[in-house]
Order: sequence, then C-alpha cells, then structure tokens
Amino acid sequence: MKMKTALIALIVPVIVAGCSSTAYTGGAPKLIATNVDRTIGDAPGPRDGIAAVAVLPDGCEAWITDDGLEGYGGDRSDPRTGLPRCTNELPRGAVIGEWRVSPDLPDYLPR
Amino acid sequence: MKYRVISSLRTLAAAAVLGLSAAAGVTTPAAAQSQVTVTGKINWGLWVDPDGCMHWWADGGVEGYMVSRRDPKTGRHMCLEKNTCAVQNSDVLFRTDSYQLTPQGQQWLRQFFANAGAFAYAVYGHTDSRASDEYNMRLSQNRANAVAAIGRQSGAVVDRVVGFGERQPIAPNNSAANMQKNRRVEIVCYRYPNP
Repeated sequence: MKMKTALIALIVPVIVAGCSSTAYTGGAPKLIATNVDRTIGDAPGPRDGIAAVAVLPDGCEAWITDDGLEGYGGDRSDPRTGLPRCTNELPRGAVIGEWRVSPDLPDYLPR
Repeated sequence: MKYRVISSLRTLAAAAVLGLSAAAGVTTPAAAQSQVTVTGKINWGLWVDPDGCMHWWADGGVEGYMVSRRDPKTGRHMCLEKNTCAVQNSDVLFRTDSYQLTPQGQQWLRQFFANAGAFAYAVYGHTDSRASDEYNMRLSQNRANAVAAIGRQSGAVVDRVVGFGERQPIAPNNSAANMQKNRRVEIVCYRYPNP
C-alpha cells in the first residue's frame, strides 16, 4: 500500500525535472498529456477491451481501468445506439471485474 | 478546461479559413466572437471498451484523462460493431405487417434467450421505408415489445425496448432484397467481466 506512494515520490521529481513549468507563458501551446508513455516507471495507458464496470449512483454504468499510476473512467454505452447503459439490477457503487491493468504498482486504498 | 482547448482549436481552424479567404480577396465580416487563448495541447489516444465503444484518453504523467468519442453531428457515443448479440429478420419472426410472432419466430427467440447467457438485453425494432414513418415507428415498437415479452417469459432482464421505425436503415430501400435487410430486430447483450 505504501509502496505506490513511495514510487510516486520517486517518480514525480523525475517528471518535474523533465519538464519546465506547465504554466502558460505565451508562445506555442505546451503538451500537457499524450497517448504515448514516456515516463520511466509509468504504465502503458488503458488496453483495448480491458476494464471493469462501475455502477454510478444513478444506476448508469462506467468503465474504469487503472494502469498503475493513473486511473481512467469512461461512460458505458449501448454499442448499437450509443445511448447510456443503465439498469436497476445492480447495486449502486458496485464494481464488477478487474480494473487494474498492470500489477506492478500496489494501490493505496481509501479507508 | 478540455472544452476550452476544443473550442480554441475550432477557432484556429476558423482563423485558417479566414486567412485563406483573405488571401483569395474575399471580404469577411469581423467575427462576433471573443478571443480564446490556447494554453495547452493534448495528443489524444483512442481506447476501445469491451462493448466496442470508443473513448479518447491521454496520460498527463501522474493523472489520466478520458472522455467519450462522440459523433459531432448526432452527439452519439461512437461504437464499433462488436457487441450486437443477434440480428434476426422480421420476416422470420412476424407475420406480414403484424407484430404477432410466427411459431418459428417464437421458437427461435426462446432458443436464443435460453442460450445467449447475458446478464441483460436491449431490443431494437426496425422496418423498411414502405408505409408512413409514424406507422413504422408504431409497428417496430410493437414488434420490439413482442420480442422483449418472450425474453422476459424466458427469465431474461430486458432493460431497453425501442422501435426505430424506418429511421435507421442498414441498406438503401431501393430493392426488395435491401428492404428485407432493413426489416429486422436487433438484440444487444449486456455482459460483465468475469473475475
């Protein structure tokens, strides 16, 4: 549990040292996020077709995935119509499936 | 923040168009629009979820961003054809111009719901373009309801039942064969990841 915090403490200074300030100072816009992972120790981002279902407080569903350092969430939709996928059959707040893509960083969980 | 970036990209595109028309000697009225400042840039990646729906994602170092990929014209979440569980022709399921199921239609549906093994389902009815739009909306809704009723009799959870009438053709309604393709019932399976 504490390992991830320690890892982040190690990685963050590297990232910060790798870039200058992210505040906008004019000129060309800075790249603030990318689809290619360039940080050492960081994970590869979400993998196609791999995510867990999370039931939201209203009963609609989301996909969640955690690549180790960052978590991603996306709306679950009906693939035929693009309408939201909602149901009364599942408890609100439930998570179904494995959301961690990579097992290398143990998670810090809230109590 | 994200919306600002998107709107400013649009402004950049508009500026490019303005620049082009100015070069071509076209006078363009000054845009009644305030300036936006682009303060960052994101290289978005595409992620496909287990249903086949698409999302834009980006890794910001120790934070991640993800949003639905939407059709800019309809606003609909864009999905690949991956998870339609079944498409059955209406001529097999129903009597002509009726929402009464044929015996072989009932048999097919009972067999389908017994074997599909999903947690829940959606049922969508479609018609060809003959008869009025209003009539077809009603017919396709009644047909979808009839299919959903068989599903529920079989113990299935049917979470959505919609008739789209003739409004979502999969082929141009210009031949008997194409119209037959459009007369259909689609069943979507909602499945969940297994541990």
